[in-house]
Amino acid sequence: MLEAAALLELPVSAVRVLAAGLVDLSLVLARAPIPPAERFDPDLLKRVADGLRALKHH
Amino acid sequence: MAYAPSSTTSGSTTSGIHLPDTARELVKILIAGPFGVGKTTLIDSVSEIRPLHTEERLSEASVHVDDLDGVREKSTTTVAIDFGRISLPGGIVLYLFGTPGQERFRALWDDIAYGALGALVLVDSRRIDASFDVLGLVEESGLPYAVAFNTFPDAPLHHTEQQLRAALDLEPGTPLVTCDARDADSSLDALLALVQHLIDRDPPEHR
Repeated sequence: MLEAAALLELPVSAVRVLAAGLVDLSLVLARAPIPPAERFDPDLLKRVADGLRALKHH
Repeated sequence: MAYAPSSTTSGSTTSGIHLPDTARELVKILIAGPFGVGKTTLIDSVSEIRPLHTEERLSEASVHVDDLDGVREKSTTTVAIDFGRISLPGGIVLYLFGTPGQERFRALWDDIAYGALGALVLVDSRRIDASFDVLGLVEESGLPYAVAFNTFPDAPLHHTEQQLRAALDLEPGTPLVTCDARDADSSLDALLALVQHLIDRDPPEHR
């Protein structure tokens, strides 16, 4: 929702109303979000660190 | 209403604005700090999407609330949150939430902190005491954090790391780095210091 608002340059509240309308009309499929990554998974943290390093100097 | 010109939309193939289908893991890091410390700037410098700012012009009404001493040129302030996104190789998507330092937003903290890996606390060495509220909030929330001094051009250089640590009452294990929030690599380094801290404090246990 936040991302859509950022891309559309609209207030989040407006996008929320818009999205609700689209869901009502079955034009948008609402599904459960990807579950948040488990906290403190060392493997995940390492991959985040590797990813950040890979992003530098480009 | 402002829409992005179509030329830039069609030409933006390098860093797509839409999430790749491979994105499977979402992680969240908070960028915390007092008013005017550069949270918005840092998120701007590393986010691949044009960050969402819920920012308003500073008005007369906030003159007595938001202390502008030492941040002369500031004409806008983040009312609720900034939001940015970095897609990392390997399908991880890192979300950055710039969170307000103002004590009056305390009610938002629990929601914003929920599920976050940790917090990067930005500090302005010209106004160290302005960071106390934020550090208190972060510590209360139990989030692990790292501290980054945003290097302003006229920031005093005479502080030693020891003095800064003592001023902020930091635990010996809490990372303290300096960064230039305007610079992407420098900001990534600060984020790396935080992530490395999370790795170090949480050694893999054999269970």
